[in-house]
Amino acid sequence: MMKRLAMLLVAAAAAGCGESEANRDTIVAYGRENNSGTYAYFKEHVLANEDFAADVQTLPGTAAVINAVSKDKRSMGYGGIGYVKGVRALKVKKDAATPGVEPSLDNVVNGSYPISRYLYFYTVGQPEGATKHFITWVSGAVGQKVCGDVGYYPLPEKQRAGDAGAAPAGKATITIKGSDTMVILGQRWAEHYMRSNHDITVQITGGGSGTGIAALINGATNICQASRPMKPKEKEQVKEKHGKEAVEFAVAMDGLAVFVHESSALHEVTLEQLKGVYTGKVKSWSALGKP
Amino acid sequence: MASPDPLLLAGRPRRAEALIELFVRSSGFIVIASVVLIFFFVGKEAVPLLTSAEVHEEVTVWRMIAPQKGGGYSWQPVSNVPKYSLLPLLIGTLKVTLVALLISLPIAVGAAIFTSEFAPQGAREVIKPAVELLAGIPSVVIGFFALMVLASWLQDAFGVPIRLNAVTAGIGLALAVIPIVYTVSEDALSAVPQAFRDGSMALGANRWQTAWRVVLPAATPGVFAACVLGAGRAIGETMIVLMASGNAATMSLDPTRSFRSFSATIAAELGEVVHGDAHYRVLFFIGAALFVITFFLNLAGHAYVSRLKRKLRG
Repeated sequence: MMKRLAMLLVAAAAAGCGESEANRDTIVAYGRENNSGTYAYFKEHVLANEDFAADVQTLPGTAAVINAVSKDKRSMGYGGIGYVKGVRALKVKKDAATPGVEPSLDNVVNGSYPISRYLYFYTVGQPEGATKHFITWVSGAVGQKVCGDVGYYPLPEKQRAGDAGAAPAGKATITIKGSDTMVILGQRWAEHYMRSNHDITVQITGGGSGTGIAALINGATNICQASRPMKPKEKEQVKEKHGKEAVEFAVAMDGLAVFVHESSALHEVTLEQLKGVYTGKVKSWSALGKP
Repeated sequence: MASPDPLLLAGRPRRAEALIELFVRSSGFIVIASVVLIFFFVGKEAVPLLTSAEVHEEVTVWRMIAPQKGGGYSWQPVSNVPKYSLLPLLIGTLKVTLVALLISLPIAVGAAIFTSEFAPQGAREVIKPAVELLAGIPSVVIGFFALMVLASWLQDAFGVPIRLNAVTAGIGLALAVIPIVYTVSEDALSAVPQAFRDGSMALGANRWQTAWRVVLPAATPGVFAACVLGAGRAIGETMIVLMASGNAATMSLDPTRSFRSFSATIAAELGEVVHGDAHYRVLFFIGAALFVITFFLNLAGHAYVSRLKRKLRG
């Protein structure tokens, strides 16, 4: 009895150990949870709003995706450029004819890297007083320099605001709430801003883009920072509640890197191929032209 | 029995006793009230799913169960046409619970039998607290272990194509379930009167026969209750599953494929939904459903245990 059991176990282990050819060729796709701005952006711009395939594995946080990809030879993932470490970021091609573009600061800022996005501030109605001054400062030369120093990508020159001038007199407090992606950036902005504007206090909290937008709707914050644009329904809610439109400010840029295991033979990918992988139409590495 | 010393009782003020009684009584009520209130809160947030016309434009309970347009069942809440099929989540939840229970129950009950029946007194005093210590490990730590270490081990050993799957998460979950099942069943086994063992031995049974045919059957109600408790924990456990399951809402029954569970779905999505919209309602509906499932699981377990007890006393 025991002997037969042992033989069975050995057979099962042997069957498991020999990785089948089909297994090795399967692309294991990782992505972000559907609550993240990154997910929403990728879906809109790469998948052209088609649904992700059901078997795309979603992990909480870009760091988790990077970690999973770094341990899995057959996998592919995407996430904020700043996180890429221990995996290889692919060059991305708009289509088969154009050259692959490296995800780098220059390429994101000059617009040649095809999957980059804006990070936003939202206010209820046109901002006034200290809030207006702060947003102008952030979008201007000084604010954008801070942005570059922290490791985020600044706006292209032509989209920056002019000199903010002097802050309005009197004490004021500006509250900012929203995207976790942007918390560090917001804090640095606040520190630098408060150093030169002593009367104004800027308070930053995270919680996620959705949480920030909810706070804006409920009137619990002056500025909401978001790594995705507001949805039409959320804009409606702002209007309903406050009688004013939500106003959008692009304040920084972020690029999405597509990455694979360091040992992978793949070096570049077209947007079309990427869409295929994440919608489930392309399932194998050989279909991407790599063994 | 000797009656209590009247002198001892006489000196004790009655008012303090009344206060203590009030305190104990209200603690009981607070526990019950919090459970009821939690259920009402979760239920209240989920009710518009059944009643609100606005929510019905996007989703109805029927559409969460029936096959979707164009066939298939998918969970795609953030989409141009949001799809909220519960079936992949249900399959995922059951799949991982089953794997976790298959691994944890034999180990936990076996370990309990060993400690209560076979282990020398000294070993027992080390083993029991050690396993109970395992219950104190935060589930996020177990989840992290499953994600980083266990997944790689399993992949290296068996060459499965998908690292994060129901086996990885199931083993992680088993680590959380084992201490609960172990400690409750060990208590049940130890509570079996020594006379049972002595009687069995006197009739010529050896220690194994005594443990398996006399002590275990006598302790069945307690051991069964332990298993039900473990199953409840496995269904509701969130962090381990969120980290180690891969969270892909597939319909596959294969335990080496990724899955998405109810609890992980709530944890992952609730933080960012638009407050009060259809997606928010659906998540609360799932929460209420989980609550009801564990409630009935415990109720059924309890009913079965009391029937067993009556039969054993019989």
